This record gives sequence, structure tokens and C-alpha cells, in this order.
Amino acid sequence: MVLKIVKTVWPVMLTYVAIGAPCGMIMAQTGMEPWMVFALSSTFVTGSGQFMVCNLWLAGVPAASIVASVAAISSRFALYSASIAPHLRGASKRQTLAVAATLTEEAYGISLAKLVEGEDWGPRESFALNAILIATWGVSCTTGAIVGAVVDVPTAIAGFVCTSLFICLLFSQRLSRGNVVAAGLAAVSVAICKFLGWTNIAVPASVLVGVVTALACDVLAEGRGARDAR
Amino acid sequence: MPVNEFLVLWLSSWAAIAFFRIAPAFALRGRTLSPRVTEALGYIPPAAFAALVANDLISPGAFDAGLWQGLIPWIAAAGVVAVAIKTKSMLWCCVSGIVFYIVLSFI
Repeated sequence: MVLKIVKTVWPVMLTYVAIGAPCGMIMAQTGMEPWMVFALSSTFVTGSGQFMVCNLWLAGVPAASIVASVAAISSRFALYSASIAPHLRGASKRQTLAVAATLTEEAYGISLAKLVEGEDWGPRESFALNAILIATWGVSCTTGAIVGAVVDVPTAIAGFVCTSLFICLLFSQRLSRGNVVAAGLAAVSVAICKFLGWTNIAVPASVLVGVVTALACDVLAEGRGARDAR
Repeated sequence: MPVNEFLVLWLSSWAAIAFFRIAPAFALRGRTLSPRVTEALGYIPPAAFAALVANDLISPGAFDAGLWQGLIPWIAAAGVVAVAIKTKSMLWCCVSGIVFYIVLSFI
């Protein structure tokens, strides 16, 4: 099973190595020891949250503000968790806990696609996928912290691999009016949030904007359909 | 970073992240959802992926280093979109994304 999953996710694992190493280097700059980097990386498993902790810590921001910022940027996981919940109908409590607690963006996308397609894929496979990616991320960040400045990884290129992955997952979605509205409005909302300086909440707030707008469009279309029928 | 401060920062942040990851899955687990809720949950993936792509591509200071530098990720992303539509393959999208980005960086 592990080999089958590795065959599916090795491009993502390579991406995690490429992004995790520089992330670990930056974490080491805040004075974190390798065990701290490993503990934080393998529990957060969110590059944006980890980069944020480092930037805010180096800027001298109080711990309470850092925690609030990390919580705000991590609120998007609530949407992924809610979205994957209906597909875990047959899972036990322990399996649900294991899958939900280890959810990452890339693992969410891959697991959801597999669960929807109804392939030979269940909670065990989803958890194994999460665990493989978390281990890759944790080890990469820790290695980056230890190796330090010896290796020069171009972060812009490494980061673009994740962008490419998200583009692939976006264009794998069903082409329907609701999906187009949800995606389009979410993207526009991100742009507005970023230009207003609300970077921390841009993704979760924009997902909500997209979903609510798509639902509103459906309600309007249903109302128009009912009027036409009368 | 002092160990005490690290522990406070790490454990508090982890608690918040874990709550967001676990609570919705348990709240909705095994429930028969209304069609409207199911519809709303179905809109999360396209909205989330579009938001993540936009979050990576859009930056207020992207063109500070020059027009071409700012356009590179957009042109590379357009290339990846074409590959995604054509192949639907994560591997080919990731590989083409790196190739487009590196080639455009050399121009």
C-alpha cells in the first residue's frame, strides 16, 4: 500500500523536500534547534504558517499575536476538513481522527480526488498518504535547519511546483456554472484581500466568498426557474 | 529561541491548527446532510484551489522588480493550465511548471 501511495505522490514529496529545506533554514535563523524544527514542522505541516511564525518572531511580534495569525491562516483547514467529512462515512472514529488531524492541502486534494473517483482508496490509504507527506515535510525542514546555508535552493521555483499542483487540481474539477462562479469569485477575493493587506485571511475568507456567491447564484437561478414555470 | 517561549508558541498554535483540522470532520461525520449543505461542501474544492492559485500568483509588489519578472509566474501558470486541461496529470503539471518557470527566467 505504501509503495502504491509513494508512486502516486512522489512529485509532491520532491516538492516538499525542495520547499521544506529552505523553510527549515529560515526556522533555524530564529534560533530554533533541530528538534524544535522537527516538532513544529511535523505538527503544523503548513509552509505558510511556519514562514509566518519565523517572520513575526524575527520582527519581535508578541507570541499571542503570532498564535492568532497562525490560527487565522490555518482556518482554511476547517473548510477542507468539512469537505472531506462526507467521504469518511464508513470510517471509524479513530480513522476519522487520524485522517483529519494529519490533513495537508496537497494530501486533501489527492485524497478527495481518489475518494470521489471511488478508486481502491479509503481512510487507511488517506492516512498513509498524510503520514508519508508529513514525514517528508518534517525530515526536509529538519535537514534544512541542520544543513543551513550550505545548499542554495531557489525557493521561487520550488514554490511554483505547489502552484502547478493546485492548478492541476483546480482544472480537474467538474466544469459547472456553480464551480466556475465559486472559483472565479474566490480568486478575485484573494486579489482584493491582498491589495488591502489582509494577507493572513485571504485564502479562508475568499473560499467562503466563493462558496456563498455560488450558492446565492443557485438560489437566484432556482427562483428564476420557478417564476418561468409559473 | 528559549525553550519555554517555543513551547508556548508551538503548543498554542498547534492546538488552533488541530481544532480547525479535526472539529469539522467530527461535526459532519456520519450525518445525512441537506442538499444545500452538500452543494456548499461541493463548492469548497474549486473555491479553495482557485484561492490557493491566486494567493501564489497575486502579490502587490510582484512588478517591483520589473514587468517581465512579474509576468513570469503568470505566463508559466498559463502554460500549466494548458497542460492540466490536456493531461489532467499532476506529474506533468509539476514538471511543466518547473520547465516553464526556468525557461522564462532565462529569457
